[in-house]
Amino acid sequence: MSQQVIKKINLYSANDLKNNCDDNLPFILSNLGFKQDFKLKDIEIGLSTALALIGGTTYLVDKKLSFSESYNYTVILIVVYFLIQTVFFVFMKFYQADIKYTGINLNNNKDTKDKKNKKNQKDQKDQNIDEEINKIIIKTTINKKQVVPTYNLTIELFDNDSNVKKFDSNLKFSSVFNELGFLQIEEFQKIIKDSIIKTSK
Amino acid sequence: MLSVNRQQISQLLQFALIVSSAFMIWKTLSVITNSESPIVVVLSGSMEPAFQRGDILFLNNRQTFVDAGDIVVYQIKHREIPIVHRVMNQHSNLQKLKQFLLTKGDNNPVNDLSLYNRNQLYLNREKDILGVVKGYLPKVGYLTIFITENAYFKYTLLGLMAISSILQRDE
Amino acid sequence: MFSTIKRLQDSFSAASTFALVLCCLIFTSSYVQLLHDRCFDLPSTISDISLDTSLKFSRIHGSLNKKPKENARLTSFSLQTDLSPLFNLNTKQVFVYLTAEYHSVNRKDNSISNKLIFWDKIIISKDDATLNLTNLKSKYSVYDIEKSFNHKNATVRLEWNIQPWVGPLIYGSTTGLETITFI
Repeated sequence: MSQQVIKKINLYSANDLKNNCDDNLPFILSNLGFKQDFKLKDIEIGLSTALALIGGTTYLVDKKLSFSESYNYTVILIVVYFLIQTVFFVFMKFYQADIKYTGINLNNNKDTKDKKNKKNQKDQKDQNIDEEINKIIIKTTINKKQVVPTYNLTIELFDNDSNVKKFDSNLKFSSVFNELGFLQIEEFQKIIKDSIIKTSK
Repeated sequence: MLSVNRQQISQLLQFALIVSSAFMIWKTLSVITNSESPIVVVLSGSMEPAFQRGDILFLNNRQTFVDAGDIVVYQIKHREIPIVHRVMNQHSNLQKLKQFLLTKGDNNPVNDLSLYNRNQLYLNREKDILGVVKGYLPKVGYLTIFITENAYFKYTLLGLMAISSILQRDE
Repeated sequence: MFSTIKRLQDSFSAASTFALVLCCLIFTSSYVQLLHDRCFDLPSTISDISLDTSLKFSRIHGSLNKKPKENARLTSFSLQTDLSPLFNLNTKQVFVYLTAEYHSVNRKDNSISNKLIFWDKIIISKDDATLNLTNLKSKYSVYDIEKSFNHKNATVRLEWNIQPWVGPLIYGSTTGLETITFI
């Protein structure tokens, strides 16, 4: 299961602050009732592994054969590498771009035929994650140009009928990190939960 | 606990990709120029004042015929070191596409005959020539000389690179 | 500490990119300048050539197993040319050389193209670039791949090679032409 990633972060490095927040997203979202979906990540890992293997094979070919013998194989390997590299680049830029977390709502009420408690649940809607949510995608970026580093969150919620609700919010790192450089998990979790609830409205 | 999670695999792969890409770019250059080593570092002073130790040369091996005055990198059969010298004489068979060359270093008083094998009077363009020098960059190669000749420097540099890639996360 | 490393990395990559762009600008602009100054058509005069041939038997003169090999030398020649347009910011040295080019036919009726360098000179500064030399002798004793020149005619040209500070090596030929015969 996901674990907290709590370590001392250099408060002057916006990159480190962002990475630490991103690393804790799986833990927080599993507390809120989501299960992480690794499809995109696995595709990324698969493509990277393929590229690394081709690189390794080219190195072996280069080592074992003389230049003239290895020439044809090398040309083929280079072309294949270049093709997969293009696919990888397109994939990363347009599909994976900025997505830090993809998850499935475990509390999704897709299969519940029992609507008896629906009225009670409506009252609690403001405090709980909406059960209509099927899938969540969280994208995060940082604003590089600003003096005070800000964490930009984009939350996309998919319900059972594949309707999308999107919401952008941002938070200052200073609101979730203490002076010593440690992330306050409860604070961060509360902010994320509120953002998700705001999004579903 | 040996739980290697996706994050660690992803980081390791990022490093592997950087190394692979650099290597594949090198091999592409090698294939384009048809030369085993398309970029070489000057090691000796026999072509001074044109080339100094540490200079970088860009080679192309796709020319069938080399001209007198061209600077070539050649390696005599059974000798270890490639030599960068200028072609003084060339004799080209236009039908057989064969060429015989005599070379000399600018800074040497006589031609390279004493460097060739015992009964060899000429270099064979196809067999002995690794490429023709087409481009030049001064002094950048001194770093490679330093790395190959100074073992401490080489391992320190490799160690630093490994450490920085493991501890860093590129975003 | 980590952001220091990142800053160093960023500065290093920015510096490298800048250096690369600068190098490209330097050699492109110097090549354009050469074209603009019509450097590939520089005039030259080669005159008063006297040639001498003799038989040699040592390896340094191209003889294998002490068999006789006809060697040729230019016992005297004069050279006039002005190569100062070749010198710009990007010129490290100019290697100027005198070539003899001729054609022959081998035993199997293949046509052979030959070119030999008789004499060369390295010019480092623009001031030395104007050549007005008389009574020069060839630096190298040259020989054919066959054992004799067989009285062929050859075309003598003065060619040059610019060794740049950065970028591609540039080769060119001056317009002066002379014919010699290997007596």
